Amino acid sequence: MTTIASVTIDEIKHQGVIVDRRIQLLLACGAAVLAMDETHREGGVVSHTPGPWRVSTVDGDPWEVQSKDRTIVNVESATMADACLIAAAPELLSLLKRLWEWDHLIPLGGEMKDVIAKAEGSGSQAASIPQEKRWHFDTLPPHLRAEVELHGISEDEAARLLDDETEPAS
Amino acid sequence: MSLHTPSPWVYVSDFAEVQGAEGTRLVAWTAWMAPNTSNRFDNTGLEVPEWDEMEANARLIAAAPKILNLLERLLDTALPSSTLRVPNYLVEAIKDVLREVSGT
Repeated sequence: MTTIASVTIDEIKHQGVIVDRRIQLLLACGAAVLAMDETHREGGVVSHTPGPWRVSTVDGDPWEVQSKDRTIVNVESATMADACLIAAAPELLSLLKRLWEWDHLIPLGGEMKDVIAKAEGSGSQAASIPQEKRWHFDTLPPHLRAEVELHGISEDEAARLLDDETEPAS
Repeated sequence: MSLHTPSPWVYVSDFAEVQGAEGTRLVAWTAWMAPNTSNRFDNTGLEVPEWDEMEANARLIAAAPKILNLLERLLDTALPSSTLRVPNYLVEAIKDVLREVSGT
């Protein structure tokens, strides 16, 4: 990337407008390659190798877990059940995140945040409320918002209380 | 129900491995896979991840039993007793992956 940029700057200096189009193309290609390289980086933190992962076997025994183009891990004493679980890990994490992002008041939400943080090694990021869901959190009455944030009550309980409070009086 | 090695699974960075509950070496990044070497491809022709990506994979692998357990508990007890209604497509997707993991 750096080499391409450096060469193009020199060419721009010495060859003018015609080269400039080539440079633009090169820079665009470079940016695309860079973007591809960044596909599993979030906020500067490298994420796991994108799924799907699969178990490769030798004589029926698990040997490696692999992605489409990378070796994920070498199986040592892990059983086939372990290897299958490992291979499913990206999908499991993705589902867990989708559940939590669907509604942070979901049961076991606190535990979800912890596990997601552990899996991603980014506690503060995992603990943040997704922007698209903030309306839900923000629309909680202040006393329930405080309760959830301070973990005084479970998120599920907050949802139930909210339902009770917003239920029209009969 | 998956018959995997009981959790906790722990990533031990010093040995570049994930250990089971009794310190058994479940999976590892062996010498020929060691990141930051000149060999970027293993003997299957697949690329070896960089160190930081390998560590991200290790964290995810170590957390896998907990994620599985959490999803199982959500489906079995937490969601049915909750006032929240999770969309069917998500519930079905979870069931599918749990079936995949248990081999049923």
